[in-house]
Amino acid sequence: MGKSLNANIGFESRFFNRLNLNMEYFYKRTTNMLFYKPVAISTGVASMPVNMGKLRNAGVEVEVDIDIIQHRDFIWNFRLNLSHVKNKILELPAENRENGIFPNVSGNYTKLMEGGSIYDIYLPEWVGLDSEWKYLWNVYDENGNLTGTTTDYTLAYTDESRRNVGSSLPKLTGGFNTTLAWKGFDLSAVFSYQLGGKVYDAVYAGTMQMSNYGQSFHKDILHAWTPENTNTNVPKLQYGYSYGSSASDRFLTSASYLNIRNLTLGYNIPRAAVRNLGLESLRVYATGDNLALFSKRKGFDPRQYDFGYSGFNYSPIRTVSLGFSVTL
Amino acid sequence: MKLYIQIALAAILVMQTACSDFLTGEDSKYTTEEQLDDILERNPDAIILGVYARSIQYAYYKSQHDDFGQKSIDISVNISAQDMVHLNMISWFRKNYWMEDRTATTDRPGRQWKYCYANICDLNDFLARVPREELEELEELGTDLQRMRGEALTLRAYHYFMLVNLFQTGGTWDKIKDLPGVPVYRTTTLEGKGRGTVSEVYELILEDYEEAIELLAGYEPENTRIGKTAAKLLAARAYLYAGNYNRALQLSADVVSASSLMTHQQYVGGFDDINNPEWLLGIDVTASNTTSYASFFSQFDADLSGYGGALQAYKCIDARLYNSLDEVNDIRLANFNNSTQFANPELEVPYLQYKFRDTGGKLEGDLVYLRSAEAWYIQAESQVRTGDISGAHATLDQISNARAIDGRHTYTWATNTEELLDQIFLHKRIELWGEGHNAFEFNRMEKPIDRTYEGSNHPIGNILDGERILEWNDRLRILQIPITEIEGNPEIGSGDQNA
Repeated sequence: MGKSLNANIGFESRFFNRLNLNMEYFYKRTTNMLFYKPVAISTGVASMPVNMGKLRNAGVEVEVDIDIIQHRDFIWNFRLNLSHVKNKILELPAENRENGIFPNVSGNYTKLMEGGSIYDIYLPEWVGLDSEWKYLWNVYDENGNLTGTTTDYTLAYTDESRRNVGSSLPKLTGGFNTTLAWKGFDLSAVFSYQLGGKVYDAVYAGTMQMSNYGQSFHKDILHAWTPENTNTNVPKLQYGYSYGSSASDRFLTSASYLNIRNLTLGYNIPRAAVRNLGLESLRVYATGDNLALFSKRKGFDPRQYDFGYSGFNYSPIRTVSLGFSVTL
Repeated sequence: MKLYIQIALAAILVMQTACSDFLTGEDSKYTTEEQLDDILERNPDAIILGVYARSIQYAYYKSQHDDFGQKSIDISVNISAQDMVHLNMISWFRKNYWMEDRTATTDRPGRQWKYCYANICDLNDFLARVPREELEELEELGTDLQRMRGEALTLRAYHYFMLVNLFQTGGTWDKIKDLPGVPVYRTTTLEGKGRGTVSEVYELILEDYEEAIELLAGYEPENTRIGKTAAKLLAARAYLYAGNYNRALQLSADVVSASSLMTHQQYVGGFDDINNPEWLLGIDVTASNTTSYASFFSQFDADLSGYGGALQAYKCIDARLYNSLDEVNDIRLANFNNSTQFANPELEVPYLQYKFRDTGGKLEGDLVYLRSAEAWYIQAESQVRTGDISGAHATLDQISNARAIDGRHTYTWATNTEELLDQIFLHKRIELWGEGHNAFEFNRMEKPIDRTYEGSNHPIGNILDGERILEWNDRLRILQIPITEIEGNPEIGSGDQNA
């Protein structure tokens, strides 16, 4: 039976009649979670549902709201919120404590270790190209010592050589927005962001592979090794080179992003002119949603992959609309 | 300036202790013990029929058109050796042909391992509920329990046979018996086991077959189910691989005397009809169970709209194999290099296979799993290895005359053991071409896989690591244990992995 303990504590405050500051700290501890523990496939069963382990999620949310300028003709307000969450596996079953658990989910490169988080990504460490043109990865022994490098991926993708290369948990997420109003004009801008966190970009890896024809390449393939271009990190374009897209931290990408969620510019037609039309008020506006996303790689949308690896998805569309609102 | 600090302490929110009982470990994905007992009461056949169904199931592992059960395994065993040419090296099974797709993180080991063990798990469930000692009492549950237990044992042994030959090499018994094999489960359990040795795996295989042969003594059902002759042939094969030639001889001789061979017309008829006197086990494919383009005939029939035809993933026979035999008088060679038989003139491809054709054209060709012709070659080989050279000649004469167009073959059998064994090896390869034996046979006979000979029709680049002769112990000839097994099984670590 899964159990959870939640506790929140926070405060709201206001300073100088202009500045609001809210903070909240939350803590959640879950025990006996439902988990599909992988078992040996040779038993005929892939995973077994169990109640096990102890997990802690704790974090802080901060909200700051400043009326920077409060004037009869000019108002400027800025608001920022951010949140920071930490996740820790407090306890795993005794038999898994030393070696950890690999959740047997396709595409997921996390590993559950006691003391780590469920978002820790374990992958082989990529070193670059060898003296020929092939990918090189680090090889570690069971004591965690680096014993060398290899071009043979089967020696790199092992329990020992998969290392903790990052986490998909961000350092900070949140948004900020600002509104200005001057005479009849109003302008508001809303942003959302994330700082930190990593995602394994499987889609990018898939476009750098060399063993299936009929699929697209990423432009980076133009940097492939040739005898004239040896200073590169893309292997020679060799049909059938089966390690072209093998999972390693080469394709681990920062998930920081900035998104312009909304920009709205509006104008309230002055009272006098509006009255002449027989109306109470008239506002015209232009608004855009999802205007831009800045992320580490063009086309990479970290918002859709907070579980740590990318896949195919519909891109959220950008909308621009114009309108007016009327009060009769 | 005075600071007015207004702090609203109302934000100390509720301290909650939630004893929320969410989600206990129970699952509807797998059948429970009670459900299994219930199933067995209503229809004891259900589990075994489930194993047959899984053998023709599409996408058991991944939704890919090379994933269609038993025949996927058979094709990969055929194409990762010497006698089958993947002419244009496009589309499915090309990675198997390149001796690729065999490492811990690639598809083939994961799929074949998972498939075999899923069947074994189901069969273990069945066998546990129908133990030998209780067969008479349990007869009230339905008739035929004895036959079903025999059938389940045969199927279990067969899947272990496949596993130990996929994930470890074959060869002279003394060389291979102590090599690490695969985990052996006699009962259903959730605790992973370590790799048993090859001899431990064969211990279970041969025990199962012997018990099955006893239980099936009175049963010769239709060839969509396993009967006594089928069990004997599978057992003979296993004994051959385990180096027990005496027992292999006895069993194969039984199968030979119980079998009749097909006509020449049937031999070139497309190998797609379950009503063939030699088929000891097969699947009757119909409109309701066909897997359409993800199927065996789609891969082989050069005349169809599938991969082996319209998509030009032609499968040819190795030129040297073809040219070693009598193309004038041997009906078996009429199944190759016979492209003028096709309506389509573009199919004049040298050495193109003509053996497997879906004559109905609807991808409903029946699948052969076991054919009695194999018994003649097991018998001949066992005779040679137990010192009966003339007996071997007689056996070979029998089957070769049956395959001779004018009834009298033109082959001369060697009198010394080495050469005669090589001849039997050659003839067995042409007889069973495309039926799932090739790589296993090459491993067992410790022969090198050589596609580089003068006059070879294998295309350039047919081995990814570089074309060369693959000696018997080359690591490319066996599969690695899938990474998901190593991760989920505390008894198997990366130190237990194949090279």
